[in-house]
This record gives sequence, structure tokens and C-alpha cells, in this order.
Amino acid sequence: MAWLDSHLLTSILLCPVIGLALTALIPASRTGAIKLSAAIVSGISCALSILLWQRFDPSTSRLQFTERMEWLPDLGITYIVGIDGLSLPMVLLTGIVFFTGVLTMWELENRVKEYFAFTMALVAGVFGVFISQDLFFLFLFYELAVLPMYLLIAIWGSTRREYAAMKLTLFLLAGSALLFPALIGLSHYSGLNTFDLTLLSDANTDWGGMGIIIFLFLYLGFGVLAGIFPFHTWSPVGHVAAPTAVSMLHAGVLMKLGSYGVLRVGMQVMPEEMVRWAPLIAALAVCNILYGAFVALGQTDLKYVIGYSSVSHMGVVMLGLATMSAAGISGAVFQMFAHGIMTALFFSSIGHIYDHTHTREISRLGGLFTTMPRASTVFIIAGMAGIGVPCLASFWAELLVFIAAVKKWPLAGALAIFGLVVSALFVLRVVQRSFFGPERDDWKDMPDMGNFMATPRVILAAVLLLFGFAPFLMLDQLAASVDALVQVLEASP
Amino acid sequence: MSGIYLRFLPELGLLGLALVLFFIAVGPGQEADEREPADSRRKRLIRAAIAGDRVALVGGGVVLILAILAVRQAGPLFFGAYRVALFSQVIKIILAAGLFFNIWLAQEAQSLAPRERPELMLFLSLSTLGMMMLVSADELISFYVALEIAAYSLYILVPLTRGHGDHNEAAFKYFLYGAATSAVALFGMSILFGLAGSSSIPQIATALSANPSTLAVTALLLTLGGVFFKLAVFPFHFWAPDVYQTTSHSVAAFIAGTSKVGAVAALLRLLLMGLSLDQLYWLLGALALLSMSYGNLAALAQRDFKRLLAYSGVAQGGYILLGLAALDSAAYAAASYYAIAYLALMLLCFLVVIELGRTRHGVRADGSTDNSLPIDALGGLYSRSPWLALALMIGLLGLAGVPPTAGFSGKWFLFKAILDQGGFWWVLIAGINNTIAVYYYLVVLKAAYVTPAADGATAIETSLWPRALTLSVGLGVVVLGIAPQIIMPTLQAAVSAMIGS
Repeated sequence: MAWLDSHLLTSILLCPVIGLALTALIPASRTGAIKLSAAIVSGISCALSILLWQRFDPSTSRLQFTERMEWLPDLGITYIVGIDGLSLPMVLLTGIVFFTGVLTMWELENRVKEYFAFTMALVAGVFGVFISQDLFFLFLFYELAVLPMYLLIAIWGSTRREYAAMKLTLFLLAGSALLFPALIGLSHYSGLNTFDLTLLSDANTDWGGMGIIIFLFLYLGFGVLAGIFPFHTWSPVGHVAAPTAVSMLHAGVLMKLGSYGVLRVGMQVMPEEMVRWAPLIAALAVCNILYGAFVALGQTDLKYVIGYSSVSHMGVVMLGLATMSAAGISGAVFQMFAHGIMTALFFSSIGHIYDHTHTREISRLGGLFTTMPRASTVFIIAGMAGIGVPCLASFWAELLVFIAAVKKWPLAGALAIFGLVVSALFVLRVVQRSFFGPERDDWKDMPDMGNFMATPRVILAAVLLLFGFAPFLMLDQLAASVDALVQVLEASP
Repeated sequence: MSGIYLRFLPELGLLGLALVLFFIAVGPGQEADEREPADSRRKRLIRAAIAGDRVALVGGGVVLILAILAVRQAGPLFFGAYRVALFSQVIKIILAAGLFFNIWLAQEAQSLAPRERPELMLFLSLSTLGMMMLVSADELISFYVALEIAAYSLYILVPLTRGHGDHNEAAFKYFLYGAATSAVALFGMSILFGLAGSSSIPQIATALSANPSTLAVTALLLTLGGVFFKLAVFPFHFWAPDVYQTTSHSVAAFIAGTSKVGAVAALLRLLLMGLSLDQLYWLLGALALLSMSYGNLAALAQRDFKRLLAYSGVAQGGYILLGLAALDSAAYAAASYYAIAYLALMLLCFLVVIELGRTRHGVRADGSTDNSLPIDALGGLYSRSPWLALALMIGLLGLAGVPPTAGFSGKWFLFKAILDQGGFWWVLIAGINNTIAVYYYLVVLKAAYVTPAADGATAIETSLWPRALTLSVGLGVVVLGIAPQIIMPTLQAAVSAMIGS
């Protein structure tokens, strides 16, 4: 156990890498073996992230499970992995969505080998970002996570997939264009010649005039991936085009890389700039919430509805971060987790419906609850989470954010709550039109989810319920790290 | 005495190889005999060509081993005109490796007539010999001679392709640009000689740092022009698209990869004279930004894969130049690292071009070979040959600077080098350029991975050798990208020693 404790994070990171190697070695014709190896690898990494959760010490804000290895000392690059309360939920989220995503794609038949190979590369990147404590590696994994997305959407996607894939990749890499100078600039202007995040945060550097620019670049560069208004347009298009499990990973995990980047690099290293820019971030976040909700109201495609609702929910995350209070940041991190699970659930349900009805037009669906009770239940649970019904994880997350926001900026808080009301409207409208109402003859003979295909959905729903009934499970893990961050922010002028 | 031979070992090996290839190329088997039936003559020529291919492959391997054996050698040669040091020896290993892989790729090249194949091997070896001498030349005259040896071999190789056609235009363009830039370089060297009173590079460096002047900067830039031509940096790039597109694939692969490494190394040598000239920071930086912006924008419009690689090469030269504008040891190490990565990526891309070329016997109406490769011809590559598709993916993603390839780490090092000299905004422009570049690399990747194969396109048999090359070079690119510490400390030590001396 001692060995595992000191190498737990690297082991989690290596799971998808080993999975990639296994996938590469198995001949393409043996799809069953490929799927099985993917399921085993993702199951192991999910189990390891649960183990990580269980062995995490919530009493300290210091990095845990750290591993260090000199990499290129002359260039300030060190291999450092470690987690604190802010990254722990993200690792767990990735583990869960990875595993359920692999199970969801069990019926895939087209180019199976390549699909799982690209998925493994993507997940390796995502895990890497959440555990890296060195900017070089953080950025390396960040970019690694983006590119497989292009192929995953362009090859296995649906509606306008090539356009969507290209748009997504170019938006995200345009963000990287800002991150290159910003991240290298952090090392240069701090005068430390290191990319070690802990050293950079502890240095209390006076950034001078460059601080404003670097922080803005960090915020916009990472923010593109978090779907901040007005750079969110790639996101709904990408969600819609992507195949089911890729939508799950995309909305569930990949967008969190953006908000996590703002939190980890922007807020932690440059707290005084965060204080300066917080009003702008909050204003844009409110735009996200309202704009996403209203546009979702007008959509006719189920996936577009959820795509725009993601834009809205990511606004809640950014609003929580911008309040810079303990409640707001805890709520934001909680929301990242809850929204990740929730959208994964949404998309996996829509995936099943689309696979059988071959349509996602709300007006063409109807009465699905009688033919597909399981798929419908799953969608409705996710929908309830989306509008913040109590007993589901997002309720607590959104509640915390809204309380913090109302305290700090009453108007912004009020507008955000109004956005929630609108989202209740669109979710209930979708649920009413697609799942209830008169039964359509077209869908009478559609099969419901089998027991096996229902398993990943049940897991996701169970996680939502678990953290809904026991939010303290999450908040206790976060508390120490959030308090430490808030102290730093409050000490900043 | 033996020390001298040891120091000169890789060059001697290469010279020996070139001699052997020379005899195969002009050997008794090559002359035409009126009485011999055409069929038996053809068979004889093919036998000679295959013999030349295999000899070159073995010889290339031997030269690579010799270069590795000679890595620890150091000291001057030929009355100080030639300096063997860690930096030159490391670059010689890279050049030897590049030559070896190029010869490997050119085995049984389809785009050349059998009787020309021994000549291809001969001039590839001679050009590499020129580049090896370029890296060690410590004095302007020997530098110029080495530059011309490297260049003239290529002038001969470019028109060397099956049949005749518009590649002659490209060959002329190449030759005329080369001759003109080399004349300009010679003019610059003469001014440098006038300023310093010596043709020795270290002495000129000392003289220029004691007395920096605008004239010195101008002279140095003129001299650099000769190398910019080889690196195909804007505005010295006009030959590149035509040459890449129309010359045989094997020659294009050499010009795109190994020859660029030689150019970067030569650039590093020449810039030793300008370390104290502050204006170079702005001039090289501006040239770099122009080059990458122009190259990337022009590449967007390309429909031919080889032309696209040429323009992308113009942009990639810009990245290297941008890092170099920092003019310190970090920049030197980063540029060397990036050049190595670029060589590997080009090998992967041209592996695909060459293997695909074997299945496309494009012959024009006038009987000449069509050496172009439209991007559409890559359609459905994933189903026709998963190996080639993989090689292409690693190559393109590396060029696009996507991790975990060495292309990503190399860009990071280059950008860090220039940012540490205060080039924050330059890095931003370079980053934006990188985003533009991703678009056209993805267009190619899309053709290979997303577009289904055209009707009638058959599977491509990839034999063991291309697979081995994909695997070894591809893995190398990834391992080097994740763990640059395998090579970076050596490069850092080499460039510090060179700059310090």
C-alpha cells in the first residue's frame, strides 16, 4: 500500500497510456478484445480514483500524493504531480466519466480500434492536467486532450461533424496561442526560471504591468475551453456533432479543464490580478448563464438544448470562482463535478434515444416514456439535476454559488437565479414534449436500454443522488484547500 | 597523426562511400553497347541500381557508426580552418542519421530511372559531406567551399528524375537562386574580412564585438543570406514549392529534412560572429515573424501535399529563426533540438509521400513523371494502409506542435528562449501562427483519417521496412517529446562550449 500511495497519481495517469498500448497491440478485427481491454483499463483507473478519494486527507491544503522527478532543471521543468482538494473531485469525475463512457460505447462497430485509441489519448491528457503541478506538463497534457477530440468528432460524429470538429479544434488552439506567452511569461516575469506551480504561487511576485496582460491571457486562453461568453460558440456545435461518449467526455470533463486552468493557474498564481478582473469575469459569467438558458429555450434538437444548457451551467462555475469567497469557490468546484456527471448522464440518455429513433428533433419525439421508460428516467433525473432540484448534487453546488453571488453582487446573483428559472422552463418543456404526451406510432417498437447498457447510466445517476443526499462528502474534501485559497485572495490588495 | 584521422573520421567514411558509389555510377556496367539486346541491358542497369542502393544503405549505416564513434573528438584541423568539437560532432551524427534514413527511404526509388539511382546515392552522400564540413568550418573560405559542395550536389539532384518535364524549370530556379544568394553571401564575407582583417570566424567574432557597427550587421546579414536560402526562409524561399513538388520524392525528402538540419547548424556557426550585435535581435525576429506568417498563410491555399510541406517548411524555419533571435545558449540548444525534431517529422511525412508514390505511377502526356501528390490522393489512407496513416499522423501533429511529440517541446523551448529575452509579444504572434498552421495540417489529417478511400483505391502493401521506420522514428519523436532530457543536456553542453570558446 505504501508503494501505491506514493505512486497513485502516476498509476492513474498510466492507466489510459497502458490502455492505448494495449489497443495498439490488439488486431483491429478483434473488437471484443479491444472493448474488453478498454473496459478493464477504465475500470481500474476509476477504481484508483475512488481509492484516491478515500485516502485523501481533508485536513490539509497542502499537495498530497506528490511525486517529483527532475526533468530539465536548466529550463525549469520538473515532473511534479500532486493533488489538493480542488483537483481531487476532478480526478474522480474523470475516472467515472471515462469508465461509463467506455461502457456506453459498447455497441460501437465502426473503426473500434482507432476510437478507443483516441479516447485513451484524450483521457490521458485530461488526467494529466488535473494532477500536474508543473506548467510545462500541465500545458502538454492540456494540448494532448484537445487534438484527439478532432478525430473523435470528425470520424464518429453526426450533424455537420467535420465543420464542428474543425471549429472546436481551432477555437481551443486559438486559446493555446494566448497560453503559450502567458505560461512561459509566468516563469520569466517571476524571475524564478521555474514552471513549478507551488513555487510560483508562493513567490508573491510583483508582476508589474505584465500582470494584467498575463492574467487576461490565462483567463481567455483557458476560458475558451470553459465556454466563456462570447467564445462559447464552438461548444454546442461540438456537443451536437460528437458521438455519445465523446459528448460525455467533452461536456463532462473537457470543459472543466478550462475552468480548472483558470482556478489553478490564474487564481492561485496571480491572486491580486484575480481581484482586479473578478467583476469582468462575473459579468461574462452572468452572460453565459442567461444567454445559454435563453438560447436553449429556442432549440429544437435535444442535443443543442443540452449543449446550450452546458454553456449556462459553466457560467455558474465561473460566477462561483469570481465571487472569491469560500462558498462560491466550493460551489464552483462542486458544480464542475456535478455538471460533469449530469451532462454525461444527459448525453448518454440522448445517445440511446438517437441510436434507435435516429432523430433528436423534439417535435418529432413524444410519448417516449411508455416505450423507453429507462432512457426517459435517466434523462429526467439529469434534467432535474440541471434545474437544481434538491437531493441531487447540483442543487448544493448552485445554491452555494448563488448565495455567494448575491452577497457579493446582488444584481448578478439575481440575474443568475433568473437564469435558473429559465433553465427550469426549457428542461420541463423538453421533458413534457419528448417523453410524455401522446405516444407516437413511429416509436412504438423501439427497444429500451438493456440491463448492461443501463449500468453506466445507473452509476452516473447514483453519483448524482449520493452527493445530493450527502453534499458534505464533497464539501469536507474541499474545505481546507478552498479556505487556503480564499485567504490568499483576501490578503491580496 | 592518428588523432587527425579520428577527428576526420565521419567525413572520411562519407568520402569513401562517395568514391565507391562513384565507381558504381560510372562503372563498366553503365555504358551502352549497341549489340546488346535492350532487355538484357535493362536488367543489367537494374542490377547495378540495386547494388548501388544496398551499398549506400550499408555505407550510410557505417558512416552513422563512425560519426557516433567520433563524438568525443575535439580540436582544430588543417591549420585552424576546421574545428572539431562536441557541437559539430553531435550535428554530424544527426546528419549521418538523416542521410541513412534518406537512403533507406530511397531504396528502389520508383521516381528515378535505374541508371540514375547510383547517382542519387552518390550526390546525397556528397551533399551530406558538404554539410558535415559546414558544421566544422571555422573559417569563411572553407565555410564557403563546404556550402557549395552541399549545394552543387543538390543542383544536380533536383532535375534528376525519370523523363523530362517542368521540373527543369524548378531546377533552374533552384540553381539561379542558389547562385545569386551565394554570390551575395560571398560579398558579405568579403566585408567581414575587411572589417576584421581575418577570415577566421572566432577572430571576426572578437573584432565585431570590440567594434560593433551597422556595416558589420549588414555584412553578417548578407552572409546569412546564403544559409537562409538553404533553410528556405522568407524571402529566400521562392524555389522551395516548385522544387518540392516536381523533383523526385527521394530528393525532396533530403532537401526538406537533412539539408535543413545542415542549414540550421551553419546558421548557428555564422551567428557566432554576431552574438554582440544587438540589432540582430530585431532583424532576425522580424524576419522570423514574416517568414512564419507568410509560410502559414501560403500553405493554407495549397492543394498539393508536397507544396504544402514546402510552405510549412518556410513557416517552420521562421519558428527556428525566432528562437535564434535570442542569440544565447538557450536559443542555440532549442534551435538544435527543434532541427532534430523537424528532421524526424519530415522523414515520417516523406515516408508516406514515397510509399504512396510507389502506387501512383503518374506519367504526363509528354512522358515525364508526375511527382506531385495532391492532398486528395491521401483520401482513405487509414483503410488503405494503417501504418502510413499512423506515420502521417505523428508527422503532421509534430509539425503542428501537438504533444506528446518533439514538435511541441521544441516550440516550447524556442518560445521560452525568445521570451526570456523579452519577446512576449513575439511569442503571441508565433502562437497565433501555430493556430493557423493547425488548420492546414488538420485538412491533410482529415483526408487521411476521415475521408473514405476513393473508388478503385486499393490497399497499400507496407512491407517490413516502412513499418520499422514508422515505428522507430515515430517512437523517437514521442519519446524525445516527453523526455527531452535524453538529448537536451548534451546539446546544452555542446552549444555552451561553442559559444564560450
